[in-house]
Amino acid sequence: MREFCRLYIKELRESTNIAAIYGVLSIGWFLFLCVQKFNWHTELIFGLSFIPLGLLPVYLILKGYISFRSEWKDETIYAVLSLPVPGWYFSLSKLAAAMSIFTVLSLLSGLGVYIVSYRYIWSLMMTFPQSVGLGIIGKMFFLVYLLYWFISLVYYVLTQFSYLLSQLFTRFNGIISGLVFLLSNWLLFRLAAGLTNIMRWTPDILLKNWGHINGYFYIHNNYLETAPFFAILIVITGIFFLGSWVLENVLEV
Amino acid sequence: MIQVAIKAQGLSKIYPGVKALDNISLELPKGSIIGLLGPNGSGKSTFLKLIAGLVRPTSGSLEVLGQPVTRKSKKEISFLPEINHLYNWMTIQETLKFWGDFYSDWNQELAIELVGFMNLKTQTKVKHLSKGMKARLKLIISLARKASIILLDEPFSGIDPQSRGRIMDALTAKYDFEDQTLIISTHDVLQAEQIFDYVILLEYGKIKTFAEADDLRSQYGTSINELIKEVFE
Repeated sequence: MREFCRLYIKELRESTNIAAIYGVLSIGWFLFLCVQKFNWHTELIFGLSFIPLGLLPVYLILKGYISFRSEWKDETIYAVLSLPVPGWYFSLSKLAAAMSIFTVLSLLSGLGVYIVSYRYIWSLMMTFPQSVGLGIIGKMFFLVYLLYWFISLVYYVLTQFSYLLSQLFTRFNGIISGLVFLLSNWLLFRLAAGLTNIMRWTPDILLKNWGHINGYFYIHNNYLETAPFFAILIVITGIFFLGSWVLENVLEV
Repeated sequence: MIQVAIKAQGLSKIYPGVKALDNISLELPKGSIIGLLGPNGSGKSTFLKLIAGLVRPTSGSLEVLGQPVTRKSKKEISFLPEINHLYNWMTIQETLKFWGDFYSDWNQELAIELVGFMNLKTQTKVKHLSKGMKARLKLIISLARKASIILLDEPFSGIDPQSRGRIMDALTAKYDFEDQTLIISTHDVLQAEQIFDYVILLEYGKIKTFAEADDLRSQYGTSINELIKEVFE
C-alpha cells in the first residue's frame, strides 16, 4: 500500500502544474463571462459557462496518453519497470490521480457555472411545479454528473490501454495507438452489449419524470437500467488489467 | 561450495534485426565483483537488463539466486542504468524518499550519509544537477540498499575524473564483499579493474572470455585494461 501511495503522490505532483493552469484558465473564463453578463443573452452566458466542464474530458484523455508517454520520453520507464511492484499499481496510480484532479476541477467548474448563471438557473427552477422538489432535481443532477464522470473514466482507461499496446511496436506508435483506441472502443461496446443481458439482475434506478397532459400536471416513475453500466464497468476493468499486465510482463525498454 | 548468484543457460536476446545476446551460458558466483567488458553493441547493457527484468530472453533461461527473473527477483536487484532514469522535478531528498518506499532493504541513514560523501545537497532538484552529479545520485540509490545483486551499467559514462574517484571510493567503502554480487559494465576499465574478481569479455553478443581477473593478468602478463585494448583494437 505504501508503494501505491508513493506512486499516487508522484502522479498528483506531476499533474499539479497542468491542473493549476486549467483551473486559472477556467477562472479567467468565468470572470470574462461575468463581465459580459450585461451585454450578452443570459442563455448564451449559461451555455458558454459549460465550456470548462465540456473540455475536461478532453484534458483527461490527453492526460491518459501523455502520462505514460512522458515515462518513455523522459526514460523514467527504466525506473517504473525496475521497481518490484505489479503493473496495475502504475496504471491505477495514474488513473486515480487523474480522476482525483478531474473530480476537483469538474466540481469547481460546476460551481463556476452556478456562480455565473445562478439567477438564470433559479429562474428555470421556478418554472418547475412545486411538487417537483429539490430532491428530484438534485438526484437528476447527481446522476448526470456520475454519468459524465464514468464516461470520462472509461475513455481515460481506453487511452492508457491504447498507448501501452502501441509500445509493443517499434514504429508508427501514434497511428497504432489511434487504431487500438478505435478498436478497443468497438470491443468495449460489443462485449458490454453481450454482458448486459447477464447483468439484468442489477437494481434499476428510480427516476421521477414530469410533464403536462391536457393541462394536467403529472409525475410518474421511470426506471434507469444499470445493467449496461455494470457491463461496461466489467469490460473496462478487464481492459485496464490487460494493459497493466502488458506493462509488467510484455513491454521492454 | 560456491553459491551461484546468476545462472544463464543458452541465453539469447534478439531485437528486430539484431542479435544482442547469442547463446550465453555462465554461472556468476555470489559475493564477487564482475567486470562486464566489451565494445559498444557487444550486449553488455542487454545482459544487465535481462537480469534486472527490463527485457525478456528470446530463448534460454536466466536465474537470479536460484529463481527465474520475476517481479519478486526485482526486490533482490539494484539496477543502475546508463541513462538518467530519475524524475527531474524531484529534489534529491524526494528522490531518495521515493525509491526508499519500494524497498524493505533501503537504508535512509546510509543514503543521507552518501549524499554528503558525494558532495550533493538534499534540496537540489534533479534537473539542476550536472551529469556527474546525476551519476553520483544514481549510485547512491543503488548503494543505499542491501540488495543481493547490484548491476551498474556504465557508472562512469560522461563523468569527470573527480566524480569517478568519488564513485569508486563510495563503491569500495559501502559494498558488502560477502553478501552482495556486483556486476559493472564499463568502458573505463582502468578506473575499475582493481576491484574485479571476475571478468566477462563480450563481443557480438557472445562470451569471448570469462575468467578470474587474477588468472587473466598472470596468463597474459598484463593488466585487464591493456588486455582489452589488445583484444578489441
